[in-house]
Amino acid sequence: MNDIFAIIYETLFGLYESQFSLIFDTLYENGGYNLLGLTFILIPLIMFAAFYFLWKYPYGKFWHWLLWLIIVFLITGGISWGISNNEIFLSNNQALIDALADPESGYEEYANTLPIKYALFNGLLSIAAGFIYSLIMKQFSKIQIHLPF
Amino acid sequence: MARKLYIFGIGGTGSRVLKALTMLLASGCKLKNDFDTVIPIIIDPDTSNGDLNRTKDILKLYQEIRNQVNEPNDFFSQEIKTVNELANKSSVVNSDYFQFSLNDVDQSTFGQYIGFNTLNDDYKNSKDDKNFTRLLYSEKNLNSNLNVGFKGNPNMGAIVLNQFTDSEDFKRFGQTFSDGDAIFIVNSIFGGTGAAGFPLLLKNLRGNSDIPNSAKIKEAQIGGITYLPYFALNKKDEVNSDSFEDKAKIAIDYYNRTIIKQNKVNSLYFIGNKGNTKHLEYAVGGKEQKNNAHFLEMAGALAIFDFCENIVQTTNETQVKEFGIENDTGTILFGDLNLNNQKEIVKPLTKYKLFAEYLNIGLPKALNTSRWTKSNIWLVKRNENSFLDEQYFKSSEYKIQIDAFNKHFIEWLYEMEDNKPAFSPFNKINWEDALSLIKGNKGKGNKSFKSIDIENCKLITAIDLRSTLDKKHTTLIKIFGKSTEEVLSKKNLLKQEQNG
Amino acid sequence: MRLHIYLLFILLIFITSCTGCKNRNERLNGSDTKEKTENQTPEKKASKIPVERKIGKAIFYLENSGSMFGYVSGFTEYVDVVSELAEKPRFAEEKTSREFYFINGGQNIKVTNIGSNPTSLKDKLNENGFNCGDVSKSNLNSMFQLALSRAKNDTISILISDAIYDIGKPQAPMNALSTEGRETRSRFIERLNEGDLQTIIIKLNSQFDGKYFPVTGGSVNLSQNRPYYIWIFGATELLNQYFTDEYIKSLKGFTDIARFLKLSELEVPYQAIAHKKIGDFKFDKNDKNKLVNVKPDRNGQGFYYSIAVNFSDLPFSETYLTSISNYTCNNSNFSIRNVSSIGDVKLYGLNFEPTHIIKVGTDRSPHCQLEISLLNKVPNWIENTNSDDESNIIKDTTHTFGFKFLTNAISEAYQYKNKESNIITFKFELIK
Repeated sequence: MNDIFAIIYETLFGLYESQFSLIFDTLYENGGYNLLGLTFILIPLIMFAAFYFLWKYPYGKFWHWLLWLIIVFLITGGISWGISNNEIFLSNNQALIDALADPESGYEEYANTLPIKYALFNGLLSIAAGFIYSLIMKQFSKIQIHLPF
Repeated sequence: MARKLYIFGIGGTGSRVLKALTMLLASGCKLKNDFDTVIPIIIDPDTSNGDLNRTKDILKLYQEIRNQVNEPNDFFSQEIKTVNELANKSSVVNSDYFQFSLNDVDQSTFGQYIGFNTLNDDYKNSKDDKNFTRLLYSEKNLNSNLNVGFKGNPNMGAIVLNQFTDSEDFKRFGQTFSDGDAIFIVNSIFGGTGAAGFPLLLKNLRGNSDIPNSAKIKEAQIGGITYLPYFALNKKDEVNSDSFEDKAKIAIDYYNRTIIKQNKVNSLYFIGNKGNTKHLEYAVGGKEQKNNAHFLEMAGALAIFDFCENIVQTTNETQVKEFGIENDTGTILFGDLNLNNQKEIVKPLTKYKLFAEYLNIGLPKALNTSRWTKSNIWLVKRNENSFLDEQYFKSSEYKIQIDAFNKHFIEWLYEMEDNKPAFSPFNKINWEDALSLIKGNKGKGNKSFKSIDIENCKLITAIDLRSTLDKKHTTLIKIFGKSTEEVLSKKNLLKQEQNG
Repeated sequence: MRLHIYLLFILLIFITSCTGCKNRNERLNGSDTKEKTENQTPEKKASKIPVERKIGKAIFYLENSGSMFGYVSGFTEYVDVVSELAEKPRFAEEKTSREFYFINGGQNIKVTNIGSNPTSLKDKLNENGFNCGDVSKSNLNSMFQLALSRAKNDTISILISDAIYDIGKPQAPMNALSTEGRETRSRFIERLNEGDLQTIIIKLNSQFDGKYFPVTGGSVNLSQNRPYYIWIFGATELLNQYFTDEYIKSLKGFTDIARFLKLSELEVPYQAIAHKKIGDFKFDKNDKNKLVNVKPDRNGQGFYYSIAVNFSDLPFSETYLTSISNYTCNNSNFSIRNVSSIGDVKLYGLNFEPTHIIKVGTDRSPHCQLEISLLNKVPNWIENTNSDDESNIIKDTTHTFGFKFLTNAISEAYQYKNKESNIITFKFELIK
């Protein structure tokens, strides 16, 4: 699982810089990628399950669904930001900590650009996941079956 | 064993009671004891009578709607047929088939009808029929136009109505009569048509051997309801409402001697209301006579249910029953009714009222938004798409049949509310508080039409609700039957209680 | 339409699992090597724990045959250096036990014990002092054998000689030299079989006033600079510590130095780093020396990366280590751009202390199994020192007759033992 997520973030989204390989090794090794991956998989799953099976409002329109998707994006993004921030700056990899502490290494500067990127990409992934979940879950929903279309 | 109930509605009152009965049947009330089919027969020479035409229209709409529902089991569950349909085994719906025609009343005066001018006036030879006739009938009587009924003169009605038992319609009625079928007659004692027609009809049913199946008919269960005065007119002219009571007394005496004591009917119901009556617009027949619906008419319809429920094959003695409510009040609510009556009508009326109001107030919000009105949902099985889409609600069938019928229903309720005594069990509602429609019953939780929409969403895919091309109203009628029931019971709105 | 969505979904899962699998196989292979290195390193690390060894004893053998007298005719560089060595500061500090001997003679080698006091040695650094034993002959091979045999454990031996074989007056001097050489080689091989041994050959120059005895016979009077040699034998660790290039170069008259050592004992940790890279790559998760997604620079600058190494185990000079001609790449597309000392550069994520950074790369296709070797080059000076002809001995301050036979012997002996001609080979995998 870690491998699949690593491929998604590093290869697909290109979030890798060999210059700062310590960051990415730490994320890989300490399960940071796993956490991020689970985030974009589980949050939309739970949110859309609630949308399709718990929300009993019978006048749901397309924009309701869209709004929900946006909220999912924001929540996933926020949590991803938190996770990546934590995993990078509060890791237990001494080498990484040293590198970050050393202003000349450029690690800190570079690392500061990462959480927002993970937040954005994970957010996009959650949109894709949310969309797929929607298409599947709507089949089984009694009240929101007509959303998104 | 499928049995039929033939209901003869005589005169204006008969029409109005039949109308009330139709409304109750539409709301889901059903006759007990295997009475599958109701066959209304209106007897009224006053062909352009407003009440009559309204009733005929409502009966026609009822049939049309019911024909478009696949195996109705709630709203419109009772089958209504005309004698014509049964006799010819056709399913043509024509409102005229509900009425038995009377010959020669269209253009004649009473005098012409009885051939007054051809009567002998040879008083010398004791053959002075003309003058004898003058004893019985005034000049006014002789010159009245018959096509507006008998204007409250049963002496005229008795003569004219006598002919109808020779009519083709009546013969056809006899042909369709089977074992186990029953007959119910509605009339008013103070009217012209009703007062005369009831005993006449009864005499023929029990004694006329020229009717097909006369033996069966003679032995069949017959019930009747006679209306005593329950309204007054605001003008005194040819028809003088002051005379209603006197006429009533005479008639009842006659009934007592002939009908009751001779056990010609199995059950006889009486209903009326003294004092506290509303003065109605004076009209002498014709389309102007369009009396507003009255609570007592609906109460009379309840007699029909009671008759079927208590039908027993063999009694020799006539059962006489009278209608009453629990509280003497000018505004009748559900709680003022007897508990048994409440059990019969509270739920159905509330459901149908909610249904009718929903289509007016609640539908706009849901149409094309709620999934139960959407027929264009992607990526789903075909049966997930609804039949009740915008196209359906704009269709001519919906407008001409459902919408028209519901308008009559709402009008009927409104007229009863506006009458004296008023029958006003329902509040005025809007979208937000739709579910608190019963007076004195707030219910719990959210009271908007939202609950109906939620239930509809859940029910829309049920197999037994699917409309077909030849049964277009199946989904609408059945789904609302279920959803209104579900919502009302969930919100605890159908409890019946006695007002103290 | 619903069917299409489902198919798409299944396809997606299939793809991701496939790519996952593929990498996992690679990673499994990678993880094998990772396991191997993980198993090895703890042991190595154990042995690397610097238990600073000290020289227990230093044994000095000074050749005192007739050809050596010229070096002690006065206060020459020779005398200076020998005195300096005898009283090496560290020896004095650690009170290292020392033994001094004169050595000469032919078949029967003659060893004269001078004692263990450097002062006594200094008193003997003159023609009178030298005149003992059998000054007419000098059996180099026996001298080597003796010196080699004494250099064991924490004892080192130092031999000081002019490195001229005494072959008598043979008909075919080259043959004779060749034979001598082979014997030298055998001595060394025997000794190397017994264990770790580093050999340092130091070429120095000194004023020579005295007689030179050519192989053809007779003698020549010389008054000029002449080369002489100091061999130091001992454990690599000890020699690295006590006889650094720096120290040796500081000796008066120092000319050149060569070291021979057993390579298998050396540990040179290395790792690829992204420092100042040109082009792009990713480190494999399990093996840092495997570079994946290797792409040359978009602007055509080629592909270059760096290697961090810890050369501290190697006794070679900075010059040697930073000279790119001492390195080869197995792939002709690749070349070493430069080798520099670590300086102030901070590197992270290494599990060793780097001493140098090697920059390597190519302007052509960079995908290959790359091997970079630090060559064990025999210094040029050795080749240049050799002379096959003594006729121009006057004014020749640099050559030694038959030197190549001697040094070849040593070099061949080490080569034989080493099996590897390279000091260390760095292996990398560069994948697309």
